[in-house]
Amino acid sequence: MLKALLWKEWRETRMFFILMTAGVLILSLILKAIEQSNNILDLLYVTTWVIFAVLLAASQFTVESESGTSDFIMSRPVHWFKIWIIKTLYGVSAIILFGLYQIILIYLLLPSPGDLVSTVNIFLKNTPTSITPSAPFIGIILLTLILCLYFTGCIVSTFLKSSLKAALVTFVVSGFLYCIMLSSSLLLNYTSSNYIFWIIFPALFFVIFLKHQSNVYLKRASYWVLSIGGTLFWLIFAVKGTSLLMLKLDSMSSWGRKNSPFILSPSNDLFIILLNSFLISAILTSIFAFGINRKNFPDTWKSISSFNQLFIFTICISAILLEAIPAQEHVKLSLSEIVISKNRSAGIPLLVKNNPPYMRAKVSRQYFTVNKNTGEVHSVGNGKFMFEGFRNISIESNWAFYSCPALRWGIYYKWGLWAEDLTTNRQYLLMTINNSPDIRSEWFDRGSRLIILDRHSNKKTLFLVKNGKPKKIQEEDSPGTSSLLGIDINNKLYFFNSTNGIITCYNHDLIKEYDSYAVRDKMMEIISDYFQNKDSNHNMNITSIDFDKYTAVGRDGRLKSKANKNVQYVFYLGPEFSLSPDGKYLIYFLRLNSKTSESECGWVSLPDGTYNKEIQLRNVHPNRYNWLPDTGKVLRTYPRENKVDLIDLKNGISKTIIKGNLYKVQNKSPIKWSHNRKFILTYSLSETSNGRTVNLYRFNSDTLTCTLVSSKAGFRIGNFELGDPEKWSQDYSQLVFDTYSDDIWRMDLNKGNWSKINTPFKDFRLLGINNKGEVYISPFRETKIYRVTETDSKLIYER
Amino acid sequence: MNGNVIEIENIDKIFGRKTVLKDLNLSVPKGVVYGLLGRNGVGKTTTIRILLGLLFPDRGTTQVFGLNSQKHGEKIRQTVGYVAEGMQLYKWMTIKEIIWFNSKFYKNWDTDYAADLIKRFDLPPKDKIGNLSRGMLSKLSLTLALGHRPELLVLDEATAGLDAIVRREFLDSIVELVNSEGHSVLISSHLLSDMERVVDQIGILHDGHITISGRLEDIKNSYRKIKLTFDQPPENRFELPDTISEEHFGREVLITFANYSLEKEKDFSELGAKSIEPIDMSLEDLFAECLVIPSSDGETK
Repeated sequence: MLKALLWKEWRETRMFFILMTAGVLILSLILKAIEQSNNILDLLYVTTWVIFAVLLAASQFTVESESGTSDFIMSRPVHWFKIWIIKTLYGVSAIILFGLYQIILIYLLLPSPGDLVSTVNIFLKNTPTSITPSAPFIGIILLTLILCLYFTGCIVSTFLKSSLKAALVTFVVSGFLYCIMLSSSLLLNYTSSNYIFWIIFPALFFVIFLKHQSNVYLKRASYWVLSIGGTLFWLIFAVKGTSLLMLKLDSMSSWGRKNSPFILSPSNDLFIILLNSFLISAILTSIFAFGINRKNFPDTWKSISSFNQLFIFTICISAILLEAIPAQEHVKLSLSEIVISKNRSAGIPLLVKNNPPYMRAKVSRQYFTVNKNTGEVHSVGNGKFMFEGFRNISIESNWAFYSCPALRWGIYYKWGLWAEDLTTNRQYLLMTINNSPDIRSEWFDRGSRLIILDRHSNKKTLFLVKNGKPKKIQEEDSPGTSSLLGIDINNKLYFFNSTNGIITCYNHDLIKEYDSYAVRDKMMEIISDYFQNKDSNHNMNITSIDFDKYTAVGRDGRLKSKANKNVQYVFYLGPEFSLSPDGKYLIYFLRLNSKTSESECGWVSLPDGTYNKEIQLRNVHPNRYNWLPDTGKVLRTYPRENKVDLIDLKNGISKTIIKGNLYKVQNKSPIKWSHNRKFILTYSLSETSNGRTVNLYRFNSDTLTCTLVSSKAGFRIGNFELGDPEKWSQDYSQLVFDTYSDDIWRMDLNKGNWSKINTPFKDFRLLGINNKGEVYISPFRETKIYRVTETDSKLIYER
Repeated sequence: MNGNVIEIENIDKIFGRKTVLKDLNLSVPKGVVYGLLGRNGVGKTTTIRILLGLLFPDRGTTQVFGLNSQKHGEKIRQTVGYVAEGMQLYKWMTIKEIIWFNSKFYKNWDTDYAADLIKRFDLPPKDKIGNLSRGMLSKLSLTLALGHRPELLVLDEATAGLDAIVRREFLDSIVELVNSEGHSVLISSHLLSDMERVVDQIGILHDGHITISGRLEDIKNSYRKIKLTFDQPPENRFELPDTISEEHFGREVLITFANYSLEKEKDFSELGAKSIEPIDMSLEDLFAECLVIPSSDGETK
């Protein structure tokens, strides 16, 4: 009998199944052939699965009613439960098979699975993350929702006699149910009463209006209007809600619930659970009541409907509990340690609404950052955050950048660059990149604009961040290889084209203003002069200089002699150009002779190119030039001469403000400015121990003098390449050093005294220090944060 | 089981605000063809669905072969053949396929007997159901209902929509099968002329309960219509005992009696009737007369 029933189900739906799958395949191939954007394919797969489930469910029982065969099948000597279970088993199996087919398509055909939300503008707003069709997503989230949809469709199909009507009503009803399921999310994250209204409205209107409407045309019209509206809203909510669920479950490592992004208070949880239960019960009872009084409505049919309701109810309640339980656990955390501000949490992916208890936060793994303003510690993300296999993460300002290969199957080699607004936890796909990314990004105009330079393709892209959302406003693709020299205080951008050796100035909209300075010509002039004056043996007439493709820093150049004999000549340019804050001056260093280290340091006035080489250096290797706020002055350090000079570029007069040995770091300045430019920190060789000596100077900008505040020897500083060993507190009253041992040294800048903080760990990262002098550390390979003081050590966050 | 195939005791069934069955009692003895008569919408189909366990009564109990319909619907349907009006078959199946499909539900399905029926009814096995005529569909339904040699055959308006010839053919088949197999049959129909040809007993369902029940012959004998002729039109209604209806047409008066006997003719003479003429009643006449309810003031409605 079961075999016969299964045979019947298959025979009735096989054409639908085959046509649907073939349709998807053909449409995919067409879209792929015409190179449509990935989001259409994404959307295609998600929606076709949804549509398949709904149509299948809607036809499960209506097909019997439509053809009048329900009396026949139900009057056979078979229990209604067997009919229900066969239909359900068949339906669920068909849905899973269809889903598997979709997964195969996704991985075979889709260039970048996972950027549906990121690339579809309509879903971008208020959508916190993208949906990645990874195994958990497809296996758990989408399937659960689709099963919920399926059982809803089954309920509807027992009451209606038309498959089409049943499908449309299913969309409306399930959209409503979906909202209820996710009402916690809706209430606490991106609640809009409009959304709720527009879902409830068609549902109620549908039930009340259609039940009493006798005008057949009005009835039909309202069916279509309301159902299409309902479908649209359902899809929006499905994507938005699914994104949220995905975000939640993704952070629940191995279903661990401690890191759910949903942090609710117990009272809110209870309220939401009760509300959800009430609403779900109400809607299901309404559906049931709508059909129960129909004359001769078979009791067996009611039983089938009840069973489907039971399943829906189970799914809904499970979803609610899945959300509520982890939230309850999260409440155990001391949120006051994590959440620092009401609206913004610079550097931290927190979503805070109306302060606690309406609060939620996305807490990720492994990576932590410190709020520069407050010194508080927060986590920001990890290697498996949302994009599996992303290669790089960097944090600038309040934004994190992820670049990752978009496809795991190797058919395409496209890369994507994602940006995440850490204050809202929203992610955006900035661009896809065809080759290995060599990206430099820079914020300017008070963080409202972002310039991204792909140094591989030499494409400059300008984004304007409006309402927290980055939007591409300009793209520039000039020949040659450019590097960004800098951005001046007027938001003008200066690019150095190493192919033609020209510096070009762009305005803040990435519109070219002028070519300011021909570096190549100047280099040729300097080197020619040098050979003519200093190295007469060569007596070359230099005709060309090839700069490095990517940078103009410290790489070989090539000279051609008059006799057309190629002569390799090494000169260094750099270590890098240094642009004055107002964009009017450019300083560079040119080492002319690698054997004698003869060098020339010059500064040019932009844009007229007036060159001044009054400052001549010999046998030194200058490091970074540190501009003072007064752009006419620059700090220049000479590690070998162990001094720091202050140079007035207007008259070329230099003044030594710091003397003493300086710890030399390649390509790094041996001096550190505090962000407020009031302190200068230097590291030097210690005369008394094997470690380093830390010297802290207070800089007086009026007298242009430095006063030693404190000096302490015996620090084991480690490798600067790994990062700065020191951290400042927000108000610059505290300074702390990582000594790469089990202790930390803290300095009170106001009092000038040092104190040692012992930690229980040998291997940890120094995260920051707050204004009170409390230090935050994170042990390696542990997602924990400790707050330590001289007397106390307290675990404040644990994953 | 006390010799009855069907026992219905005091059942009520309410749909929404409408009471369809009210304190219904019914018994169908074994081996008879029982006709359940009633106007459209009176609750015949509901009664049958309750008997088969497809609907549950709000009150009372029903038994088929001694099995409670509410608890043993599946078992009951194993031993009952059921054909209903509007019970569509899967049009995409062939006759052979639906016979196979249907056979899987019955433990006692007799494949040879079903094949024999198909042959007897001249049904082409490879034809799709969607291509069959209504007559052939009825025969196929009957085949599906009889293939497991049911002890009780339930026909719910099974001949509705068929033309007279096909209907006669269909009913003849049933009579033939009942005679040969000894089945009990419950027929629900409003086509009384057909019923009269085949039923042994009838029950008339009206206002939610059985108003008249018994052997058809007995009922026909006990109900009699008399035509009385007077010299002058009678001034008043007679309102004799056991009167079901009384109609005045000038000098002529038509009176329908229940429990009629010859003794009543004395009463007619005493009333001054010049002539007394009995009129034969068909089942249809009887049905029509019985559903005319006398009002409290003696008028008929």
